[in-house]
Amino acid sequence: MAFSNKKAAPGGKQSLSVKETLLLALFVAMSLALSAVESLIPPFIPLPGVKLGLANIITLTAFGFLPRKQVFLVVVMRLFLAGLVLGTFLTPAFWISWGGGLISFFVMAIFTGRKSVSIVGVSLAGAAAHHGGQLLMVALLLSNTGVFYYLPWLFLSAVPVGLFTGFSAKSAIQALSNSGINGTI
Amino acid sequence: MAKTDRRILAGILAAALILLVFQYFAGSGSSELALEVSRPGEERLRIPISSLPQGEQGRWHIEGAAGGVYLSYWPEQGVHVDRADCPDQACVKTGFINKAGQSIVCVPNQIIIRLVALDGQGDRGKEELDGILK
Repeated sequence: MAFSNKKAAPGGKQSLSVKETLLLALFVAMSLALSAVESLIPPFIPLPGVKLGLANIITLTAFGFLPRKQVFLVVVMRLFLAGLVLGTFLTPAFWISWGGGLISFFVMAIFTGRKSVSIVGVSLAGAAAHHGGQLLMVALLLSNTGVFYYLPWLFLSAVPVGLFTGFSAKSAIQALSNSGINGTI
Repeated sequence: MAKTDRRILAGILAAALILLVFQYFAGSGSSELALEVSRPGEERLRIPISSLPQGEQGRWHIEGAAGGVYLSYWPEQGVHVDRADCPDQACVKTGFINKAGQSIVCVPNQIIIRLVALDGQGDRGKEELDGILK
């Protein structure tokens, strides 16, 4: 699966093509829907606000079609809007999701576009970073490092989650490619 | 899966296993356990588990940002949150904790209840709970 890491538009970074704008909106909407679905899943460890990271499916998919900067926009817009949609805006759960979302974005951005790493590998690293980032945020919010007791369990749970999001993103990219949207813009 | 994929997978699993082994040995000391209650901006309370009221004898209340939590200690099972003034009740669902390092976290109340190994000269003096309910 080819990842595109080309610069946005030849004219300069300020101009988004119609296609890019469309994809951006599409990815934000889809990841927002996944965030909403995820909020219905009961917590898998006894830490409120810690989520599986299903929206990473869309972040991964976006890496296949958009340059990194715009994938970052997808993540930031999703985190912001999810707060408004789910009613968690500016609550601890909101900041915990920012911790997970941003750290997993940066880790996935590092691994994306390397020949030796497939989308599943990027997803696994992203899931581990997502869980670690959320825990880091809980520790910051409560100014207590005791919560890192859960870190090994979070890493273990990141494996099935990462495999699931990775293979989901793989088929999402294939489906989008088949529908005529090509991976390079 | 590509070559580096397997390395990432192995790295995550190795990190988890190393942390688990470390926790297992850190918590296996025979020293007495103490209950540590922390809230941001306040001094930590550390109470030796032997000086806690047991079972039916008492529940105690810890004040928190959203009201507080009610705890009880059952010698056979451990420490447990009975009731909490928060919407998600995640701390109640945690159930019993009985090993060093385990914690109950209540984000809305900003309370962390943790079991720690009491090393000889622990702060035995700080036994100030908000109140014991009989």
